[in-house]
Amino acid sequence: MTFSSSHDGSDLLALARAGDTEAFSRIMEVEQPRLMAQALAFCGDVHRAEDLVQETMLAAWKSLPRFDGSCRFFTWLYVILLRQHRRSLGWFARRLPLASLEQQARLARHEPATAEAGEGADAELLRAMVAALPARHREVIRLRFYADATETEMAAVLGISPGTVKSRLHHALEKLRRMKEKMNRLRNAAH
Amino acid sequence: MNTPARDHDDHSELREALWRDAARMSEPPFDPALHHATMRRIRTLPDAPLPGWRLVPALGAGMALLTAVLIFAHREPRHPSPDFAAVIASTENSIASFAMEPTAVLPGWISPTASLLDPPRLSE
Repeated sequence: MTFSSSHDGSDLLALARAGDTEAFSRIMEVEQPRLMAQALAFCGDVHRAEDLVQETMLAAWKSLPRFDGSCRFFTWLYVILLRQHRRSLGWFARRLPLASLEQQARLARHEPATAEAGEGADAELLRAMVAALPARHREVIRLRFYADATETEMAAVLGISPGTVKSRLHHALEKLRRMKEKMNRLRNAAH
Repeated sequence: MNTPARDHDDHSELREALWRDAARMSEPPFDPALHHATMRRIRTLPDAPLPGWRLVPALGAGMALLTAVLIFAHREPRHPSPDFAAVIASTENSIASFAMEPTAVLPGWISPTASLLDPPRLSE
């Protein structure tokens, strides 16, 4: 169950928005593990993920009065996490160069030892492809698939129209499909 | 425009892979040390900044604009402004010098209102 769907959750949110740090602390006790899982997926490193979660919590506290309840609290929190992560990256590291993605695909050419290892490599490659997308496309993919946000929620939290959300999602999936085709060609080139 | 049905055909495999990857993510247990450290930082944060501070950039921009307007308004004109009365009088005089009696120059039959029954007589 998500935090904001409960009755107590909305009471706590109201208290936190009014400046009650204890209420905010209780909210974050519920949300922290999920936030940490996402941060780990972005950073791949526990210490960096912890820093990211901490910075996200601080930013969330500062902008909590602006949370208007038009989306789930976690969706709102997730957008802060995405933006903090983007800020933490250097300018050049914001988009993974395609060359490194191709290198990753070449490394994945070799047959994995087990089916599980193969799935893991595929998942790694998929995450790398998502990381290589432009920020506006990466944002909608992560929100839709990893934060389970609806298109309406995404529109509210990103401040864009539902039509733009649909269009961005379509273009992002199209880019991913093309990247995947290219990676498959690279993988099969060795066989 | 792409229809949702086409999206489904084109990207369904990719969508499933993304859902699957999201489902594979396991949540770590709650980390009390991280939580308390963050909450300690939050509690030591100063209260909300004074609203006045938010106005500083706007006030700065306003002052700069006002200064620019004042400088522009008090600047010496590069060229002296022309004497409009003299220019108008000169133009009127020029027009007057071209004025002429149309009847003195042109024959009456050229007028479109002249009677067609009174054809022009060519001078012998």
